[in-house]
Amino acid sequence: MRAPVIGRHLTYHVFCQFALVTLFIVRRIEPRSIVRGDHVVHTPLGTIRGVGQTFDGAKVSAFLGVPYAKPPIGSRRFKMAEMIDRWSGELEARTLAKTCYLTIDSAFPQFPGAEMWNPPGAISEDCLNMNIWVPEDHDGSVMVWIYGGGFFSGTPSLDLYSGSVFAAKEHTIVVNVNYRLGPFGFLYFGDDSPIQGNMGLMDQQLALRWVHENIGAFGGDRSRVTLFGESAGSASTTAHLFAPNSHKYFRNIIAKSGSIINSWASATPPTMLDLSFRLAKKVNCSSPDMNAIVKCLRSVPAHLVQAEADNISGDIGPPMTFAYVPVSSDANFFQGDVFQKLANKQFKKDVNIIFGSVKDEGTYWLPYYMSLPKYGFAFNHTISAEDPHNRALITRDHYEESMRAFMPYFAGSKLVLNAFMNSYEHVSTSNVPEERYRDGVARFLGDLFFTCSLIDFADLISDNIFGNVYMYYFTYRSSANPWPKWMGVMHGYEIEYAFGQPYWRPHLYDQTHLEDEKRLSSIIMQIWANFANTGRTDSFWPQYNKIERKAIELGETTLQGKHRIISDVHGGFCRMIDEAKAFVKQKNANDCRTTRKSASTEDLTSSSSTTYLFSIIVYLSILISYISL
Amino acid sequence: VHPVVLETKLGDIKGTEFFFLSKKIRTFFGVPFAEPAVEDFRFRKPREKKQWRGLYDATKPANACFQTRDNYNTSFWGSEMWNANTQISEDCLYLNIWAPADAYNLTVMVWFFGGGFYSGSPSLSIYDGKALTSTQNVIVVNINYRLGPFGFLYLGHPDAPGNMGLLDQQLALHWVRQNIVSFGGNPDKVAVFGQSAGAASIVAHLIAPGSRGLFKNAILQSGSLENTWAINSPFRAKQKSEKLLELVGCNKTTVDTSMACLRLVSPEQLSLSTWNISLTYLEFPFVIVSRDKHFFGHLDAHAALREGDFNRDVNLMIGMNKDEGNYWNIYQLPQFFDKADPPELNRTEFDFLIDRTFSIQPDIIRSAAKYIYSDPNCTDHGRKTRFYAGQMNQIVGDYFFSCDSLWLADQFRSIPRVKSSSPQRKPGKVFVYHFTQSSSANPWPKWTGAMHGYEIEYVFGIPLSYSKNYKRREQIFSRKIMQFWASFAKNGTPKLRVLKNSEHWPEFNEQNHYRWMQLRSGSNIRPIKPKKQVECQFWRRVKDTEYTAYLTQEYSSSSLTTYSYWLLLYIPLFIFQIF
Repeated sequence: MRAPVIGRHLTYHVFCQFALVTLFIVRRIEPRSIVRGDHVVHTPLGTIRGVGQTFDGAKVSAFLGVPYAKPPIGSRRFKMAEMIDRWSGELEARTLAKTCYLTIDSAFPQFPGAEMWNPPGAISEDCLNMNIWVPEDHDGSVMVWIYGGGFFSGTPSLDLYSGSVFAAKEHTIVVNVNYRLGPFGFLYFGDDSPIQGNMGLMDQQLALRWVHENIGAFGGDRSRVTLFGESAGSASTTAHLFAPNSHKYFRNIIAKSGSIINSWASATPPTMLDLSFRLAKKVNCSSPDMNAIVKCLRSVPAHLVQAEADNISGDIGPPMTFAYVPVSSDANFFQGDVFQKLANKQFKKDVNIIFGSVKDEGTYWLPYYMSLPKYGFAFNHTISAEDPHNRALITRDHYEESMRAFMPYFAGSKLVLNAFMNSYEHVSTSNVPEERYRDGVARFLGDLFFTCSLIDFADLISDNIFGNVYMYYFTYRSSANPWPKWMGVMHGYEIEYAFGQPYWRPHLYDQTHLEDEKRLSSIIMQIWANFANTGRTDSFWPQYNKIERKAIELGETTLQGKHRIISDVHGGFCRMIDEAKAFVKQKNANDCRTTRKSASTEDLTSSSSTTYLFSIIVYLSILISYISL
Repeated sequence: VHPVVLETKLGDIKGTEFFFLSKKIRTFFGVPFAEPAVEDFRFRKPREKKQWRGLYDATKPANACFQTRDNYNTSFWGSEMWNANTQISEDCLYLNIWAPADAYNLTVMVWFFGGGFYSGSPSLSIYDGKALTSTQNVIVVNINYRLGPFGFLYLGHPDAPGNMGLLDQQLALHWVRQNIVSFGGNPDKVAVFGQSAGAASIVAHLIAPGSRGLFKNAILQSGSLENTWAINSPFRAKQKSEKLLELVGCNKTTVDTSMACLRLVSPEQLSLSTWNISLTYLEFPFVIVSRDKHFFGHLDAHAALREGDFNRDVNLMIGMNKDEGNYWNIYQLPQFFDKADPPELNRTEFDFLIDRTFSIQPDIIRSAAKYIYSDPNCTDHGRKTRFYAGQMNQIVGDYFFSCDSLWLADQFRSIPRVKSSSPQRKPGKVFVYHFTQSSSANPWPKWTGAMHGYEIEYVFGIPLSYSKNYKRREQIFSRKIMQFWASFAKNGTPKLRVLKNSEHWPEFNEQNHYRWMQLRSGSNIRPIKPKKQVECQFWRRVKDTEYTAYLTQEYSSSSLTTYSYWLLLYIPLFIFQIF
């Protein structure tokens, strides 16, 4: 009796093994790439013809300026984007996507450090396009780049953002998406009005939907989509965590130097409403009737809308305040209040995230916002960047005025100002006081607006999501960086390594460092691509948690193969900023408590009267009962 | 020297009569103003002294209340001068009186000694009132009050109501009002003056309903009620008291049994155990509690100060010393400050000491303090300088003493935000001084300067009594100080009899640009521009946050009250159900 039973098990085991082998064989046979040699792709929407690019012998098909939405012009201006209609015939996708209307940086004409961020091609209101790079031998993973620029500038078509090298070297599909900016993307007149805000974020969401539905035609795997972005682009990637309709479109995020909770990344509905009405007034579109306002705004020439929006931006608030940014509470994108959702932990949890910041986040902004004589950070781009005039050696008075410029974020508190001045004066170890003051302001600006907000966000997220969370700290200064050396590792100057710029524009780099920078670029691209594929990084990179706050350093140590781990990046400074925010909040809470206490006193009085009356009734009842008995 | 007998309402009393500085004065030492607060009456409210029969011998100085002696250096006068020079006893509610022999209808000056509410005595040699009496023709009364747990234990219970020491002071003031006529005093012309904890006590009397009308002028030397060391919240006071119960093995299930046990503990053990309670920098074991049933009544002392709900028909003289902080730094940070040569610190040490001293404050406040008190021109962080040691002295002096005094001066002049319970009268005048004289008799090293407590000897005319130790110009200076104090006590205005223009003391108000009076020997008695404005503005914000935290604690207590009401509602309901 026993022998036959054993025999049956053995037979079953053999069968399973065979089935498994068969499954594996079937999977391997399936082809990954279906782009033909003539760079033509058939998507459900229609046929697209791209252009071939070659890098180091590797072939990449580039599909440039692919539209994903109906043109947001005319009656569609300020409306939520709609999926593009199917087309007949071939769509020619050989020219880089147009740039949406944006604020042009005209502060330093012809200076590479500023011009590199300005659009290279045409600017158009009809701009909801994307660029796609598909390598010949890709692995199916898709990386979607969302550019930064404070929600008022940026374009997917910068040379810096060219995806061909990344695609070729790491065998991944790279997609750069466009989205509406400034008032065109973020005007807001309320949830009940025709302009409901966050149109720019809805553009991104629609682009992700397009990728989800069509990337298969390029051979991509829509279940392996990674969002990566920097600054406002990074804030956007984290915003999608809170957008219910975005959740199924991605599974990994690389967030560099920005999150949706940064002070510059969103504004409250009343603030956005005020700014929007201001714009309407500026372009003579005031009216008691909302529909009339909207109709009027849609008829104003786009360049005038942009010009007036730029004028408004220059007038509002302390430094680092941008006018037309995402509204923090809406009915379409967030479907609620983003901060409330964060507090209630209502965000996508099955996601892997890499957070990152650079060493000197604040320096880029100093020549733009702190150039007045009282601050002392004027930059003259017509002379050498290393000229003494451009070293920003500020006095103590400049230091105080510069720090004071940011105190509106702390209710103008002198105590907070004094505390920050004392702490940030010691950031630099230089013997020259003027250098310490300069570096102190730079560090403070970077911490307040970038590094510390990112860390706060990472702390909140890492405790609550199921996926992996990592953090890096970028410390390598690019030799292609044209700004003064004291500005260090600047905001935005790690992007070029992620896109492989040292490989295809080597002339920008110092020749003695070129090989090192190529190697660093290669390492970073590998890390990103590996993360996109697996949701994990190499074992030497520990996961992030808010207790230890471990980050890997990407810089010289990476080139040396040392894998340095940093604990608690800018920890002391970030804690001081948190304490300052709590201190300011406490003052407001005091007023609230006074009101609450008064109410409480009133309640007590009321309770007392009720108690007294009730007691009498009760005792009378008892008395009656007693008499009855 | 010969005895003198005086008839008072309470009975006959024998004092001493003698000549001092060509003036005949009488002294009455150890005059009882309350029944002994011993045995079953330990920790309880003081009881008014009953009449006695026969002749009371008032020739021996009053006992010091029970306290632990400062053992810093028993042969060093600098610390020994503050230790009790008479018997230490629990039976200590007595006062010392100095009066001119021909006194009639004179102004009375009542002295409140300091000592952190844990030490002090009305009989210390530097508090000897004979010079003041002789030269200014005033009656001087030094009162005693219970100290440490004996005077300030708080458990929110009738057996330990808190602020018993303040009630002692209040009873003494009542005694003065009732009995000073017998000594030739005018009960309607009473001035109080005090230093450190004594000054803080006087501010408490400005708030207490029961102290209203007992004095007309008040001099506050180096202390105020809002000083961190002077006052505790009920929560903190109870915390310390419960810790003491634990330390002496008296933490029983009920307060009654705990108190019964506590009354059996020897005073030595009780007093010594207080120093095993863990304290922060310049925190004292048992101090005033901000809310109690007897002394402050319906008022909360913190709230009353901030809302301006205190007695204003009193003239105030408020003062600070130049080097308040050094005294405390020597005790609390001996490795840096306890030395004969002037101490020096580098920037790193300075930062470290601020972190140590203000360890309970948030980092943001410590950082702001470092900024305000550092010199931007000191760029070499490793170099030791006297500057940073001096700034450490200033920072301790400002936060723990001077800034709260100045705030009170400002507060006293502002219009109260709530309706005061007293009829609206014109507020009294305010005068502010800054004492910068270094005493040549000061046994501490010269670098310590005008330390906390070292203005007292000039107020009491010690340079006239011990002329060998002082320079002539200090004696002249002391006479002027006594004139200022006595003139203020009599008229509410400090004024010299022979007046130079430069020695006119302006009132502290907007009209005079809030000028202070600098007090220093030689030609240095003159008005000066106010100082410490930036520093005190900063510390005021710190106190605001502390007050907010205090209210938060209080609000939590209110919730319990609400709960009590609901409980009261349910009990009758329960009874009804039974029936």
